[in-house]
Amino acid sequence: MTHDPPQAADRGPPALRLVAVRKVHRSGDSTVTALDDLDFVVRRGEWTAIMGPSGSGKSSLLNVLGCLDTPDSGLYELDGIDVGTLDDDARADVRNQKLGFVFQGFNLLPGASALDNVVLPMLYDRAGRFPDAEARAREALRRVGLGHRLDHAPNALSGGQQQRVAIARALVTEPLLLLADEPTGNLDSQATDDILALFAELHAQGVTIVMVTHEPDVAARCSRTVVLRDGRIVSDTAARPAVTEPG
Amino acid sequence: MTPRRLVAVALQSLRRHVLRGLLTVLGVVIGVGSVVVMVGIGEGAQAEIAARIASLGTHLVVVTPGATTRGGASGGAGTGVSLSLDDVDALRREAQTGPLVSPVIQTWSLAVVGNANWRTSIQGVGVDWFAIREWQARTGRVFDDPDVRSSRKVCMLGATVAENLFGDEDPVGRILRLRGVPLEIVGVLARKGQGPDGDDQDDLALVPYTTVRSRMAGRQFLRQILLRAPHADAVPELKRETAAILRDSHRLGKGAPDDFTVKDQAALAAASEGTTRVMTTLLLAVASISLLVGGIGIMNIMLVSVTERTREIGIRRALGARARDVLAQFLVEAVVLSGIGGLLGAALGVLAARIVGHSAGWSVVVRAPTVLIAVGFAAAVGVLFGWLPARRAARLHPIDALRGP
Repeated sequence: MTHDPPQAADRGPPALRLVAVRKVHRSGDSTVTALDDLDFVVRRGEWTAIMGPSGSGKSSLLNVLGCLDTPDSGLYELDGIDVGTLDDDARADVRNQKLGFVFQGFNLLPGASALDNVVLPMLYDRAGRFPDAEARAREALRRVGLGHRLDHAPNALSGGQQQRVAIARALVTEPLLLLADEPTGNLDSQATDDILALFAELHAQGVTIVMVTHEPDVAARCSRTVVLRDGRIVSDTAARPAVTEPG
Repeated sequence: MTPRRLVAVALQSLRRHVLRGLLTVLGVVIGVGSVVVMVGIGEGAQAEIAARIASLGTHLVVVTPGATTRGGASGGAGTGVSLSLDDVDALRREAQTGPLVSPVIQTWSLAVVGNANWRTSIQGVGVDWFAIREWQARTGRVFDDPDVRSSRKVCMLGATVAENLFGDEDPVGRILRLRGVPLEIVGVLARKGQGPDGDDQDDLALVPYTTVRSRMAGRQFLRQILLRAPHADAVPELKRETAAILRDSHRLGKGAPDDFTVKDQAALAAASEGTTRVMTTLLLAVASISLLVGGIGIMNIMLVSVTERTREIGIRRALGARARDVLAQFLVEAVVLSGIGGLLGAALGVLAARIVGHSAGWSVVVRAPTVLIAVGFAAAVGVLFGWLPARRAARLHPIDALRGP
């Protein structure tokens, strides 16, 4: 297991930059400030854990980072692009070209094979980057150790294997940023170890990862830990952090 | 995504609910199937009527007497006695379009040969009659000028009469008695089959009209005058001048109504076509309703499908699908669904048309355009009724969609 020294991460160019990002959720009469003028930078090659109690703004942050939601105000730059100004279609293209998602619940299409699931994001590529989509998908599945399970439907795979398929799907387009939302939340400890080892491997290969988690054990594997509370960053620690979850 | 991809994806997701899909498209299947069967039957009937009208001879103009009026009660068309051989002469003399003209004197009689007899329609006709009706002799000969001019005691038999009186024997040269008058059979007419009204056109005996006039007793007014225009374009002009000549011949004053009727085949054809068109319109209305019901079924199941697959929509959006990709996906799915229903319905319709035609003895004509249009309509129903669910899917916010239904 390797951890980059914090200086190495600091030296990388920024993958994304948030300046004074604000997001307020309204439901009925009540309003909740999910992100409160948040400033946040992720550099290329970093493996960042985002922690915080529920309601601290983790999910809102991830939705904004994933271009699934737009901030009410503030700047969000991804790879130098001001994505806050993009329309729905352009945000879809950014998700397709620059982002990879790994969800807690795997979110694989149940009717499609592992291979078809991994091919899926390439079907929405408009730039013609993947003429060999199926070959790429096979390679991605091999990379996560599932080269022998290509034709299995998701429900024929274990949780750990399903998450590997999801990771392969997220990686196959070689995204700038891998966004993971509690990727080990639904897994037993053995599968958790395997998946974290896989993330560590990807990190070693230089993949930029932002991972939401509430487990300190998981955060401990990351190169940087950011703790949110009430929509603000209350702690930002590099490498092997001694932070325990506040609250 | 390429169109092929879209269809492949649609088929993939439809494969997960085969039974549900089939039940959903049942309305479309029935709608398209009934269109194919009904239009098939309608076109078959139309073709049959057209063939029967054609069997009467083309370029034909028919003059019938007007209605008799006795004590203010109209006797109906054809009951009058207004036509005479003078009219025939006038038409021969004066018609500029150069038509063939033949009177038709009709009476009924028992035809007797030895101890066999057969009651049939006796028609007194001129030499032109054969050319007008485009009707040749099967054996023997047709009438010639001397037959008519000299009121010769000759006759021709329709195929039905010949068979009933002579069986397989050749009647040519035999003697037949009509109303006690012995007539030499000079020929037998070719078989013509059913007329437009379904009557047997071959159940008749022909006699020169002069012979009927001078040698046979009984009511002998003219039932018809038949004319044949030299070509189809001359038919309207022939009708016009026929009416003019007859009005003149009957000395009808200005404003007096015609005491005769002039008709052509176009009018007959138009009448039967009108009937068929009404039928077809009604059938199409019924079929449209079942397609409508089928479309609502598709819309319903697509709405269910969108709800069930909310998470799938979220996943696709997260992976980079634009809203219109989602729209296209669900729209194509609805069209594929209704298209499959259309094809099934067409196949079923063709099969049913065969069975109906075979068992009922109707001629059923199923043409490729009918099938294509029916399937096209089914697909259009898919677009129409797939639109609302697809739009709903496309408008889902990715985050809400990822949370699931």
